[in-house]
Amino acid sequence: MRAYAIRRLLLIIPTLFILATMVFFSVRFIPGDAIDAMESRYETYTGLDREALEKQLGLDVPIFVQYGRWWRDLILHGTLGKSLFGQWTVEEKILARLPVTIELGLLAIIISLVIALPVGVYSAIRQDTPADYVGRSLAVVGMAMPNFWLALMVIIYPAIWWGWSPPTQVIPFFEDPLGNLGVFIIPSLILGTAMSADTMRMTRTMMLEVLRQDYIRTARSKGLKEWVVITRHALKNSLIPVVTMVGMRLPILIGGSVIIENIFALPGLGRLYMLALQGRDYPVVSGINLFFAIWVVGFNLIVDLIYPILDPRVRYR
Amino acid sequence: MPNIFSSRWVALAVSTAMLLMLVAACGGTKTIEVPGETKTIEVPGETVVVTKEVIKEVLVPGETVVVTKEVIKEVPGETVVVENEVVKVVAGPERIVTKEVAAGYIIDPTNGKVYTAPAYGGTLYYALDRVPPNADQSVGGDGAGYAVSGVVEKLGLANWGIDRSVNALNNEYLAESHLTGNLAERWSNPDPLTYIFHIRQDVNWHNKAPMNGRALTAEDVVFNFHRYTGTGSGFTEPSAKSSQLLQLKYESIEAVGNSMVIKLTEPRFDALPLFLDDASAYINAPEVIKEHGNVVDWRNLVGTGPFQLVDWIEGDSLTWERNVDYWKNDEKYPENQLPYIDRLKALLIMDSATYTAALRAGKIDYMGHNASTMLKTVDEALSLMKTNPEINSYPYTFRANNAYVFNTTQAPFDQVNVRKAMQMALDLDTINNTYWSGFADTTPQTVIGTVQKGYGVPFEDWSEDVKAGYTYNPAGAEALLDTAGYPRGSDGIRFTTTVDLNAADAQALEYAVITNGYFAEIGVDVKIESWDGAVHRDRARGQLYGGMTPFISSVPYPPLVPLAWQYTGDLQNRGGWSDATYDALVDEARKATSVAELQSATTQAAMMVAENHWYIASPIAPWYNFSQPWVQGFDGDFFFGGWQKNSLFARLWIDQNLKESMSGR
Repeated sequence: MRAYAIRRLLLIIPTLFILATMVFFSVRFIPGDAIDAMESRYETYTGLDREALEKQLGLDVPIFVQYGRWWRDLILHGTLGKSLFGQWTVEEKILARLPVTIELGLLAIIISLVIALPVGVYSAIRQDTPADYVGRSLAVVGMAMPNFWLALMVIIYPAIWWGWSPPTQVIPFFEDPLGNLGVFIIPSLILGTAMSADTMRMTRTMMLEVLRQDYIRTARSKGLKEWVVITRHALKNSLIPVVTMVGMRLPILIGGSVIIENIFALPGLGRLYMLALQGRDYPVVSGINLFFAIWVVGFNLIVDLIYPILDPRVRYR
Repeated sequence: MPNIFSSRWVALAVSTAMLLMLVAACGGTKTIEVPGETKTIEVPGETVVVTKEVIKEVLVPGETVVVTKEVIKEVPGETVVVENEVVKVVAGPERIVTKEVAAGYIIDPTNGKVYTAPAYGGTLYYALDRVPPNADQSVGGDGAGYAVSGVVEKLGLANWGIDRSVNALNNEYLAESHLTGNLAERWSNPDPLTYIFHIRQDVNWHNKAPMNGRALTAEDVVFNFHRYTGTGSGFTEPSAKSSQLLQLKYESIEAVGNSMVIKLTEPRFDALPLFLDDASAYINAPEVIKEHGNVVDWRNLVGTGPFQLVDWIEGDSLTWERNVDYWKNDEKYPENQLPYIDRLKALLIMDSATYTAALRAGKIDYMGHNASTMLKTVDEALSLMKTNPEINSYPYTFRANNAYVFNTTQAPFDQVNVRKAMQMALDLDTINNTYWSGFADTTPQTVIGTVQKGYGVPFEDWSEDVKAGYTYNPAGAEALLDTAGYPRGSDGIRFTTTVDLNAADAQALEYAVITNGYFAEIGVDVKIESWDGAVHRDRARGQLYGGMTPFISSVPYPPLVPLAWQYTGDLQNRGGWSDATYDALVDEARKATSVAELQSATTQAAMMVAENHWYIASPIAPWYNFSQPWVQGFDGDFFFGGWQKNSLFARLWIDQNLKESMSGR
């Protein structure tokens, strides 16, 4: 197990290097640069002094020199560089936004599990009953309804009907836990509801499969109560693919919540990435991509390491 | 046994809820407010509310007459007359106005509007739809003004006390005479090459390190001008900004006593407003720049203005607090020290649905031009006015935002007749009546807006021939295209071209869909190409776009600004024009030494642009500012000069009682 973990960790290094290099160059090859973005965003009617600004922002040297500087700063100084906009370093920006994205993502996943697991299990054990039909129908609705549409409806109509709109400023959790929850609950609900749909379907499918296994029949014939059979014997085994799916989803949520973060004015990583890309803030785009890559690879590793705990048949050598 | 009834109830409840949402989304009718008309406002709570304005006028030509104006305010259950205005009109031009208002109210001397008396305190919130690049305009460009205005100041600013019938300050038009001294108490121009600015002696820097409240000096001002122009104090290069200040030729900039003396080597007729109010001409703390090289980091920002920037949460908000030692009093109510509010907060909200909802919910107090959150479509504005009649709306016309510039470096738009035909294909009146509900102004203007009287040429003064080129005439357009060598093909299409759009600009896309229909009528197939902002800009800058790209025209900016957009090699010359005659006219305007010379050259140049159809004129559509009813002192006037955006909020106050009664906050 340890050897496996070490092997996987070593494999991460070339993966990250290749990915970081690809991102570094690809973003710089997109037409339009940071100065074009500044002109576009701020509608300056006299235009900007391109030459002087390029010098100021460190964009006046060849791209390979910029690339070398980026790695030099990362390896020797442990920094991802300075944003072209504002006074912050890339890591300062990421760290400032990370708590928002993590909280949003975790809450969304918790909400999706709270909805999906009971409904999926219930749907499975009451297969082909009206309850199953309702559960499955809701899942289809959840998958079919775009979450940005739902978010816009939540933003627009309560404001018109009741003069209410969701909070527009993040309140730190430790300052006011309830206020903090008030900020995150609605976007999390929207994200979580959408996610719960396929999680519910996956749970239902896996439960149905497990419930038909011999050992479940054996458990029942032993006279175990139904809820013990369901929770102790069936659910645990049916959750392995669900855990995989959820594990894969958390890193994806960082990027996938861009629109929700934008609509609810949440200063998370998704919105930062979008703005950085629009503004051609190269160091931030490269930095976030590297961060995403570490995050995804790390999560994959963690999920893989959890498998043996859930399924004793899985062994790593 | 499955709980069948429970499941059915769940299904029923879900279906009912969805049905109710659908019905509610369709239902509800309220009166539509029409901008400009007297309106009736019903506001819950007990606070006095203006419900109607009654103006009684008795006019007897040649005699002294009395005009009585009553503004009636109603408390539920009773009517209170709070203003009696007696206007004595004496035969001749003199007009004496005597006004009285009830205690607790005040009349705005610039426009006659009644507000609750100025009061200190409170927080004013607004939504800002874009993140300022940093806190130094020399590095971040104009956009830094969102963060630094109100903190650092310039030598001059728009005169907030100006009669609004002279300048309503509701677009970006500012004649030189509408500017007033700010850090400069007064100035003189003893000869065309010399400008002397007397710096105020009662101004102190904020009480923040490293300035610690010391007095502003002429040396501080000179240091900043040296930085902007690269002409001294160790600066050999201009700061990284293509400021208009750099178009002037400097001999020297130096401090003499309490004054800054600027000597030019070439006269420039419009130099004074540039010194007073160029977008980049903020006076920053020299000690900060000496220590850090710039003021990119907001934490180092120290100024002399009404606010101090005290917090900037990355991606979330900016907060300014009142400078309790601010040196300036209100231009309208000179007994009052500015600013009124304790705190100003900009929430970074990018999505228009979100900031509109926040306004509806009372979470922001202002939405409009100074925060780039003005509504640009009539439908959106009318919807907000319909659902929230208590919110004050202020339509204004600013510039023609939907014009298209042609790529004149290649066929087919290298031919004037083709460009002219494209203009004649558009029925601007119908577009206005259908798309803008008739609120736009369709009268063509020169690239210099007619608000710039004497510089922009009004349509009625155009020759009949030029007028015809701006009149809807599809048959005439087709004839022009025939003679230009673009007959209809077998598929009915004369040629195919493109219009480049910024994908973030939904309104531009709507307009393009409409205009493409008109172009199709004359056999021109226009395809829409949407790009993200930076790519769009890059394509426009390098004339990489196929046929057309959006352009702004009929602008209220100083005349030499829009004329530069057609000048050979100018950074903003998107059409790729290069015309020696035109350039000579602009050069002549730049070197003018009198109003007459400047007007002569600019009007000729502006008409040359119109005659050559270097862009397609579009209607000037209204944009909308909004404010909560408890925001007092605001009448849709917002312009303080180049990027001096937060100066507005220093002059507004909040009626806390009204706010509490309406919003509960």
